[in-house]
Amino acid sequence: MLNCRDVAHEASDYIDDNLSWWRRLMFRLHLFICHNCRVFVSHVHTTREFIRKRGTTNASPEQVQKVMSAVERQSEQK
Amino acid sequence: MTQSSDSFDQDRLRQQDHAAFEALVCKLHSPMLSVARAIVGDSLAEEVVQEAWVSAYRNLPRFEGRSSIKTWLFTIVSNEAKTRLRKEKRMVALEDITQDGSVDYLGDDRFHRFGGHWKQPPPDWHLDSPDQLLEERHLQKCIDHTVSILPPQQRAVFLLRDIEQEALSEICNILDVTESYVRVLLHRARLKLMQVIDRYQETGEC
Repeated sequence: MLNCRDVAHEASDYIDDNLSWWRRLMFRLHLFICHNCRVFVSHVHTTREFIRKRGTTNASPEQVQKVMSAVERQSEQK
Repeated sequence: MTQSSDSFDQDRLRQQDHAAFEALVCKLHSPMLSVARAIVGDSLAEEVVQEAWVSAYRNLPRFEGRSSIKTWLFTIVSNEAKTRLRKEKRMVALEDITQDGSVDYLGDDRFHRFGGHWKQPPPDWHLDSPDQLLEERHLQKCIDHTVSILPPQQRAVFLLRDIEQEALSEICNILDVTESYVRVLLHRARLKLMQVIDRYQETGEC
C-alpha cells in the first residue's frame, strides 16, 4: 500500500500516465481513502494544465532580429 | 506575451521563406535557449543557439518531416551544443538532484516519520481551475520569474515537456539523459511552480 509520501513523489507520473498498472491501482486505492492526497494530486494536475494553457513565451524583437541578421549574413556569404 | 506553439507552415519553411522563418524563431527561440543552457551552460548558450538557427535555415530545404519541425530544431540545437562542449573540452556539471532541496513538498518535515502521512497537508485553493489562474496577471509574472530561475536542466525538461509537449523519449535524446531522470526533473519543476501558486493563493504575492 502506498503512503502520502509516495504519492507526493509520484503524482506527476500518475497524472502523466507513466505508472505501471499495478502501481497505478495502488495509487488510486490510496487516493480513494486520502483526502489530502486527492487535493495534492488535483493541484499538480491544475498546475500542469495551467502551464500548458499559458503556452510559450515569445522571443523579444531584439533576439529575433539578431538571429535573422546572422541568417542573412550566412546567406550572403554563400 | 504567451501563446501556444502551433504547427508551422512547413512548405514555406522548406522554401526558406523569411517571414515563416522569423515566426519560427519568435516562437521557439526561448525553448531552444533552454536546451542549449542545459547542455553548455549560460555563457555559450546564446552563441550555440545562433549557430543552430543558421544551420537550421541552411538545411530547411532538406527537412523531410519525419519528426515535427520543433523536434528537428531541438535536435539541431542539442547537437550543436554537444559538439561545442566537445570542442571546448569543458565539463558542465549535471545538477545533483539530491542537492536541489527547495521543493518543500518532498521534504521529510512534510510527512510523519512513521507511516509517511502528511504532517502539513496541502492548502486549499480558492482559485482551483487553470482558467481562474490564467486571469491572475500578478501570478503570471511570479510564474515567469520562477521558470527563469529553475536550474537549467529542470527548466529545459519543463519547457520541452509541459509547454512544447515533446515526448519523453525525444527529451531524453535531446538532453542525453535517462527517462527516469527527466521524470524527476519534471516533477520537481511542477512542484516549484505549484508552491508559487500556493503562496499566491494564500497571500496574493509571489
